[in-house]
Amino acid sequence: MDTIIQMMLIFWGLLILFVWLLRNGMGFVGDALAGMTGFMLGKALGPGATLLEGRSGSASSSWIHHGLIWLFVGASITFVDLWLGHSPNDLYSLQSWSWDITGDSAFVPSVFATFAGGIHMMLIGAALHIIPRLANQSLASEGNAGLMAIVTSLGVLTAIIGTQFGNDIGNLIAFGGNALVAFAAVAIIANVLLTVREQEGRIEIPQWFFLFGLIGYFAAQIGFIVNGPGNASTTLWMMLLLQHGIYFGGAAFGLVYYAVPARTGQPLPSRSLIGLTLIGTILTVSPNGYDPAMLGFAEIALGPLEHGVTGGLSLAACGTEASCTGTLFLSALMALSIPVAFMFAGNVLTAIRRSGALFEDTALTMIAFGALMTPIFAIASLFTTLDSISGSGELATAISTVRLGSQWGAYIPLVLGGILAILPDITGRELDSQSEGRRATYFLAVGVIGAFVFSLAADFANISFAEAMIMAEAEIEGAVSSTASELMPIASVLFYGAVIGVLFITQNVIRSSTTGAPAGTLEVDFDILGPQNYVLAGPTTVRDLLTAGVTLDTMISPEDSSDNDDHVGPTHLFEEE
Amino acid sequence: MEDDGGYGLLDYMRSDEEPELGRTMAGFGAVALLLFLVLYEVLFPGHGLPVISDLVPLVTGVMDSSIWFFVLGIMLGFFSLLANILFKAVQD
Repeated sequence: MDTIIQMMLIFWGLLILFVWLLRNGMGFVGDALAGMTGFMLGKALGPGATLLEGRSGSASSSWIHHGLIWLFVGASITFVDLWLGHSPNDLYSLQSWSWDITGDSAFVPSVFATFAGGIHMMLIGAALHIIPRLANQSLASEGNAGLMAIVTSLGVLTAIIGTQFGNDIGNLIAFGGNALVAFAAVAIIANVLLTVREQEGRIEIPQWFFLFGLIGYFAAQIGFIVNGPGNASTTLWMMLLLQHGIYFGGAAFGLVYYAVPARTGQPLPSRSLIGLTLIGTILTVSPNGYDPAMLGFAEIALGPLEHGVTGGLSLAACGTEASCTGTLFLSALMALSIPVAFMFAGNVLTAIRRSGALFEDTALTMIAFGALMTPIFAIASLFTTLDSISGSGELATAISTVRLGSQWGAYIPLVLGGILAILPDITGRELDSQSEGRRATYFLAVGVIGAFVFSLAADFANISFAEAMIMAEAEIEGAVSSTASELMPIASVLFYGAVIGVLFITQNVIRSSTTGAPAGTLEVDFDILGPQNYVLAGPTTVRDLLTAGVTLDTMISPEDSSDNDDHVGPTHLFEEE
Repeated sequence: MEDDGGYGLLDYMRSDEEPELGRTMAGFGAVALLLFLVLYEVLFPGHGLPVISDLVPLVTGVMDSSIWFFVLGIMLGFFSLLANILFKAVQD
């Protein structure tokens, strides 16, 4: 059987088996396993089990706070990586500390910090809140889940340190760090499954998204191992694509589908579109996240195991190492993921537009930005990935830019926005400052989109330059277009906006736990039709007002008149009696 | 003399939006530093600042790329996060 079809069948088969076991149980074996797992999560840890307080919601809050800090670290290292892309020796002075951070040495740490640290930890934090909440149960072991947040953070830190050694020992240390992350993830899966086991009603769709995401991540890995090292040139990339689609994409969809109604108090417009998104996420393959540069990360993540991966490997093209039937099948599955992205974006954007909270509520504005960008980056990723599968390689230079754009422009805003929306429910505190949060969202949005546009322009300049060199039969190794060398620094500086945006949001969240208003005490400033208040900055037309979403019931007031009575107005120098 | 209960000069001088003392001091400090630098350049033209001029060559060649400005910003952000967390822990 064709490798690609075989890989997909294993992946789907494992997910179907999981659903069957979840619905039907395993009889007395299930009871024994549940008891043993509960013991392993609790008493088997000895003193570790009592290390944390185990207060309800503490584990979720802990994972989210760790995740936010790692996301800031990931954004910072990604910025450094982008900078070293055009000036590889700018941090050479650190070599005096035996720290060689030149060229692309910041890439793998940036992936570890952003994915294993940032997105993964925030998604698990959301899962630890949403799954028990919808199950109407408390988490099976709150203390263990909180402990695993510390283990994961230690794992990510170890992995990042290991990547900086630049030798086999360092790679082994990094693999150990990644193994810690995986170990903690297995404990979380066990914890979550024990919680769902006690659920009396049917499993809700956001829960399915999280469960499929967690199980699918390992199912893709099993598919890769079962297919063997001989097929690694295809299955390695399929594994990364499936993991990206089912976990980082699918779980983000589940989070947003829970967060938007929870925040707005209004149901999503279409329930059938939600169901179709769930089925589509499982049946299709997301083209987002494909990048041959991820090989460095995969090599460390898979560790010293024999996996048949060699340097310079990318998705096998049709007719060379993979059969054209398989690549056609994979291409069709990737193309089918585009309508899924549109279904998701349409549903979510309509809900947010109806709430009237766009540009007013930080979380919903962030989600709207991510939802808008999801189909755009899905199409862009489809172009670059299919270009690679077809073997033409004309867009090979732009793959990294599109991958970076889809991560920071689509998935991270979705996850970040979803987290901000559910955080008041978890911590009992509202965000410290909504206006600062909105500003941070604009920083992130402008930074990411600006960096993407300039980086893409630089890539296309390089593509044209390479074609011109071929035409002129000149071959200069490592040469780049002069236009590209001017655009790349602008792209990296613009990405600094994303770093600042994430920093402001993280600070806002940390402050909110002490100075934020108690959850539910803030009056929602928007209703189902539009904003309740609109501040007029200057002369404007009715058309502009309607475009801004005001309704017949919106209170329009001139700038600065909305303040309270303490406002100091014009001083009366003279008063007639 | 008229009492200050009306809208006289005393009321006019009384403000309820005083800037914070720390911000005021920082503003005064910045202006004073600028004045000092101008005065020093006038009094000792062409001479380097004591102590500071001796320290600058130490970092020349180390932080000679503009990425360091951004890295310093990141470090500042990271330590402000750390300070926030520590403050929260101590406050709790």
